[in-house]
Amino acid sequence: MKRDLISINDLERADIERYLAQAAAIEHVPRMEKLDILRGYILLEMFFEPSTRTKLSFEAAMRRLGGDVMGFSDVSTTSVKKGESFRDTIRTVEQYSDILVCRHAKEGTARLAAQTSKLPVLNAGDGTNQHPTQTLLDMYTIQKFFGRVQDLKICLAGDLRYSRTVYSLLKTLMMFEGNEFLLCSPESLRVPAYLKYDEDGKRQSFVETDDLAAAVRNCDVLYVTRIQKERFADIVEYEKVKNVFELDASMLEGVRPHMKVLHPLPRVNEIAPDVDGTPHAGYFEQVYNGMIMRQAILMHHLGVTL
Amino acid sequence: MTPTNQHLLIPKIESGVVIDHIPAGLGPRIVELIHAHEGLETAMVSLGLNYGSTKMGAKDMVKLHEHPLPASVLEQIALVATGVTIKRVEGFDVVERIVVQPPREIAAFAVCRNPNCVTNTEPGVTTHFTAVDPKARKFRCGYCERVFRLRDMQFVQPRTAWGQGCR
Repeated sequence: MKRDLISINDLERADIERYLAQAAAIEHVPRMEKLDILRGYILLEMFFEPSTRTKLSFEAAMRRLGGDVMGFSDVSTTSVKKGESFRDTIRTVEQYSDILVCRHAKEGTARLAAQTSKLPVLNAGDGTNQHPTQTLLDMYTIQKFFGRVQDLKICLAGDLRYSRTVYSLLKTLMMFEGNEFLLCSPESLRVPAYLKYDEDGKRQSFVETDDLAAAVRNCDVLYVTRIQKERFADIVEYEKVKNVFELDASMLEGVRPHMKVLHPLPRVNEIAPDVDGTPHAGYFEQVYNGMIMRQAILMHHLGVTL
Repeated sequence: MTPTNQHLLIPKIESGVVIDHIPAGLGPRIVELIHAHEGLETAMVSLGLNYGSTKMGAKDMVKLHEHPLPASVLEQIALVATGVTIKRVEGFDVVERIVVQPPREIAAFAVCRNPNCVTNTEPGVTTHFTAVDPKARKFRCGYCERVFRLRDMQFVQPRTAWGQGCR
């Protein structure tokens, strides 16, 4: 039976732990010894909307394992432009490859692709819904920095209302005991109420605040997201909050020594460049971890083991 | 008018189904659902509106004459009005009574209200919702994963089966 990766909602704790272990295992294989692992396999990337790091990260992951990559990143060069249906596109491109990666602006497209194709489908983002490989690489980054993904104090900051990254990460971290959450956002961008309950309907313990400076000093992980201008009906509201959540190096004085700042990137104003040189900046290592986690994901979903 | 007398406003049936405790205003919708079912298009139905009810304040009542209620119609009724009582009648006697419970899933009968959901843009995709919290009557779209309250959902006639795209 083929294995798809469509949504964090499909995964259980044991699945997350398995991905983390597989990523750690592949990271420790010397670079030149990896080159035969996926030789002969073709990854087909269907990017119906633009992406920089996710697309390149999948390509790098596949190529460093010896596999080939093909695909498109501009719908205007495909038959979609001629009116071809999404499902016909899937049924066509699957003939050329062994595994599909799909990004699309419409929510639910990855699920539909998985139902339509005989190949494994990996969701690289479906609208505002899910981006599961991002969550898995975030978890792997936390695992690497702290040696665990539980018993941590995690501050999620920025746009907590409309960020698919935040939803998925929060839900995943809630699967592991002992995690505490500080939710730092403007009033208008708070986490929706239903996210505050775990699988068993038990309300999780959250502290909500709009004081970033205080929150930073009281956490192990600071996960920052971009406040997206397009989410505001009123531009005045956006102007009011856009710089309130800007982290700079001076705010990192007195934080926990091991504290790490993560960000799914791209950043705009929310992390000042002077944070990059501090030992707390974890976001570029996060990008590297993304490639490693995607190697583990590709291997798992192609049924290849070390 | 007393509760007993008002039941005489629509005739007692010899056989068929009495659908009682329908929230006031939803009776016509239930008649529509019955008549939309294949084989029941011309079935005789009595409809009572705004009957007094000690529990509900006001309620509607529907009587389907001489036909059983198909399971699919029962499922659809559960979507538009839970808590409804269904009584099967034979020889003027009630021989079975059930209270309709909220469904666990809704397949091919609802439209996703997220305009950016693929079910609203790709032709021929059948919707599928599962209950995330049956008590709160909230359902998650199987595609875009957005959660909707049952009362906010929009229903249509079934088209095709879930997973049509599966091989």
